[in-house]
Amino acid sequence: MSKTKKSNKKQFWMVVLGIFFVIGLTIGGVYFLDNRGSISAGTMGPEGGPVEFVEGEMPTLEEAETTNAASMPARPDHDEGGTSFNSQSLISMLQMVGQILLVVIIVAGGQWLFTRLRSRRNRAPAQAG
Amino acid sequence: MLAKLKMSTTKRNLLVDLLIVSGFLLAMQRHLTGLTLHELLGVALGVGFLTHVLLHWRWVYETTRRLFSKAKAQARINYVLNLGLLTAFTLIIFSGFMISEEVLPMIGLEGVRGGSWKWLHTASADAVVWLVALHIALHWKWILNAGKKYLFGWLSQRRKTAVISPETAVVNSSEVTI
Repeated sequence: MSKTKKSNKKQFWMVVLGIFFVIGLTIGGVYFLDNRGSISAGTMGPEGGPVEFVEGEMPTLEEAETTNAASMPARPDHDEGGTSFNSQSLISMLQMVGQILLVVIIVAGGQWLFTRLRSRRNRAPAQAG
Repeated sequence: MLAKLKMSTTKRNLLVDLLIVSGFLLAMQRHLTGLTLHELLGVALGVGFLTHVLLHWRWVYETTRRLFSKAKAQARINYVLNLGLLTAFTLIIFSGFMISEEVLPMIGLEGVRGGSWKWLHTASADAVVWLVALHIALHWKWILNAGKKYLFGWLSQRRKTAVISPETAVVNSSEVTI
């Protein structure tokens, strides 16, 4: 094996190792934070309820079911993995594409404007001289 | 056989990127795909993302080496953004595994269905949309050129032949008469 090929192989494996190091660090970090309860602290209460609920204030599941079951209509459960091709999911997908396009236009426009302004600034002293 | 399968680096990169983007857009629509396909797509996206990074391993190596010395500002911004993407993708896939209801049971494991993992999964997915958008924005020139060449190349070729064909027809007819 030639020297360059050997060095290429070494560099490639260094990159692989580096990527797995970052992945390991992220997973380890997030697992550690979850064990300490730091992830849930900022977003949800200890039982998964919103932060504004104080312990004891939130009704238990049984209480909630008995008080609201009669008055609430049956809600279709969308979280159980059923598929549905409706306009809502299509709109959501288009929204995401639009979001990406908006960022692309802003960044590309900014780059174009920056290059134009810089070339104009470089041209101005040359014309003055 | 292998020679027939060989393609240019740009074409291969474009193909992998297109697969990742379309897979990502589809995986983000859980109600459209269903939970099983959503989870399987997530696993495939993880593999695709790693493939994408490894296809650019030389850039990763060179930029890491020059990060604190000779690297250009744009390369540095790109590097930080890509590191953020790697972290966010890792978070999506790991938290996805933790709340998995289909893929993990397939291999005989049980996930935890905690609120914090679900929140982390959603939050990192939302962040990834912005990061992917920025990643595409920083590479839009390459995407445009590669797309023009490999996706819409047939359009310009068709236009060229449409312009050339009357002349060639004359040449051909003159050849025939002579």
